[in-house]
Amino acid sequence: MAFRSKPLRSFGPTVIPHGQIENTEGNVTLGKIDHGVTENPYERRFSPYDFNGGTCIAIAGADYAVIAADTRLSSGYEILSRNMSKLHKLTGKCILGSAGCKTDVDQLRSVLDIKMKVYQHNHRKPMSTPAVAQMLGNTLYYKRFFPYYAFNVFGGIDEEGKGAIYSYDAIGSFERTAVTATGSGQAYVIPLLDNVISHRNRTDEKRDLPKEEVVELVKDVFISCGERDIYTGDQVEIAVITKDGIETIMFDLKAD
Amino acid sequence: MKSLALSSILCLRQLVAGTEYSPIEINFGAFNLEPDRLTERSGLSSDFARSRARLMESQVDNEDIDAWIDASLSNNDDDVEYSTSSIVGSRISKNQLSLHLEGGYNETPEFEGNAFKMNSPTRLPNTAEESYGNRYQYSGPKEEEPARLLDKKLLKKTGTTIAGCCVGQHVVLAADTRATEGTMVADKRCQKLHLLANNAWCAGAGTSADLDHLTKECLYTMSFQTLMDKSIGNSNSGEDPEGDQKAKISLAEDDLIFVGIVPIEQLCRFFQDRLFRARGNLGANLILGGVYDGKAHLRALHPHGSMDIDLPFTALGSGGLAAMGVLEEGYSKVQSVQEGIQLCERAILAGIKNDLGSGSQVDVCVIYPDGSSKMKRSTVPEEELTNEDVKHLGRNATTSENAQAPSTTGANGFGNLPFAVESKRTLSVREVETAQSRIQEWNRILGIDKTDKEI
Repeated sequence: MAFRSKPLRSFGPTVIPHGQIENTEGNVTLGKIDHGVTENPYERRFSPYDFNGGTCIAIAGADYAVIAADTRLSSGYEILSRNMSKLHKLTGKCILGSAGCKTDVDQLRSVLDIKMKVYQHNHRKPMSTPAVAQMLGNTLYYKRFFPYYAFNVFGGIDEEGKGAIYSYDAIGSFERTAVTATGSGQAYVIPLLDNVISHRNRTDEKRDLPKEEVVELVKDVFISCGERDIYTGDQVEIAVITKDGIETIMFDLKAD
Repeated sequence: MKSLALSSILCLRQLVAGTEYSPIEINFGAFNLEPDRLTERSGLSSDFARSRARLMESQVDNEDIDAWIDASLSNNDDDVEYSTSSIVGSRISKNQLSLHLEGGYNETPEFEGNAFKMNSPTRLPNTAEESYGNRYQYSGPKEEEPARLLDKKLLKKTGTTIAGCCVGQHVVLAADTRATEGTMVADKRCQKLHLLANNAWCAGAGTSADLDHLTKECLYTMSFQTLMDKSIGNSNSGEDPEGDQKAKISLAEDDLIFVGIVPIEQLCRFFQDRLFRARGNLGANLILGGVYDGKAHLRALHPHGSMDIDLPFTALGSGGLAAMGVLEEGYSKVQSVQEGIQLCERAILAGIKNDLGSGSQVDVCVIYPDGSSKMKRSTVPEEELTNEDVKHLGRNATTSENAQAPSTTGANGFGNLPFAVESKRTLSVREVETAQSRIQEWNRILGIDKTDKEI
């Protein structure tokens, strides 16, 4: 008994972000991406969050941005839908991809849409992609102490016509990167993208990838991710954003 | 003890090497258990009793079933199975074993030289030992393994679907092949059907380590007991040469095990004893199926040591509910062993598609009335593992029209696409069809395709 490090009961807020579960064994499953649902449920405090699974990735190119996400919605070991899109078009030039708790994602999208309408009314032009990125970060940070359980990737074409993608955490920290991934399959995908797109840890010569090749790569990446992550599968929705518009490709994955 | 058993096995191998055996015919028309007696003796539900009676009356021929199983479960000549038959168990060559364990309908030769294979966690096993130990292999480098296993929450569990049913005097068992660690798939091709004795197999769900060790311990205990019963000095030795031949089972090349026919009650007692003593700490849910004394047995064992007996059908694991629904609906319509096998396959498929803890392929095992058995890995073609109900939202535009011929589908995804990034367009099967139907539609609108019907 002397060495059981059981945390003291705190009287702080009753809502617990990011899935802390205390079961009868006294362990606290911190930071589990699936909120601990695949473990034996003994006793749980009510948690306002659920993790609905899925993986989103985004890749930026010289004049294009590619965002892709699978279409599976799950909860615990169940599949809720095989055809639920994780991508949301914000303007004609940018798309938000979100994994996490579906209800928080839906609410976040609604809030962003409203804010963008207000901006358009006030400034008589649609928001530019970097502006939307900043606004999304601010929106998430407004809810710093009861966060939106949404893991976002945001991508589009910036004012100079180059591809711009941004990766976020749940409370609004963001960064413009060349390559990003989020969701349940994040750990399987990021090393792969780092190697192929960002050309890390490679000795051969780096070459620029055209967007067709990147789309094929994304399909391969999702196949691999779907093999090892139980929450990724069914279909992949790939959106390619260029200055001419947005093009969407659907690709089948395994349904197991 | 183990060395004695091993040396006995080696002696026996030397004795039997190079001799021929002729098949031994066994006649099973002679059982006359009536449905009424079945019901009152064991309190079975009426439809089980009726189906058993119906099947025992019909002439079920082992050879027909064998032929049908061979024809229907495999379309690949190199596919192999484990079979314990009334002749010496089939020898499995090393190549066949490799194909078998990776096996399935989409094993195409051109990808054998694939560089991707080198780093793939599902690389072909090189030795029999490795192939049996594939459940222990973590997909990363071996050095990482001990550190991860110390974290109890990440124990490799088989979120699983297993199912079994009795069809007359036959027992059919089926299982999926996915082993998970939390939310990650640790093994895409693990084997959940375990041989326990010459006439019994079991399907296991729960913690991988517990299942592997328990079932191996059972097999070797029964093997040791068989050897002791037949050893020199025992009054029964030498009296049953045909039984000796039946008892030799070849599980892999260079791996011969000698285990005889064992009463099902003995196997159940073995498991129950160990499970109860462990106070539920061994996470093992087993469906045990076997044939002893002409009667088919199907039993379910649970982690604390409880057992369900006289089951007509059952399903366990995280996907067990999905499988049970299929079994409940379809079992009363089963009239033959072939239909029983199809029912079990469909039950496992339901688990694979609807449960995230189950996946990959289906393994099936059939135990015949004479105690021999046949187990096949990967019996369902890959095409059947996708979900046909997923609707395309009509957004199938693709970027470049100068596409090359579409290569293999992306829907099976067993790493058969070469990794190098090339401008090769890969289409799923349905994308091809949709693209073709769109082209045909446009041709029709533009009036380009003139068929005989159009004027």
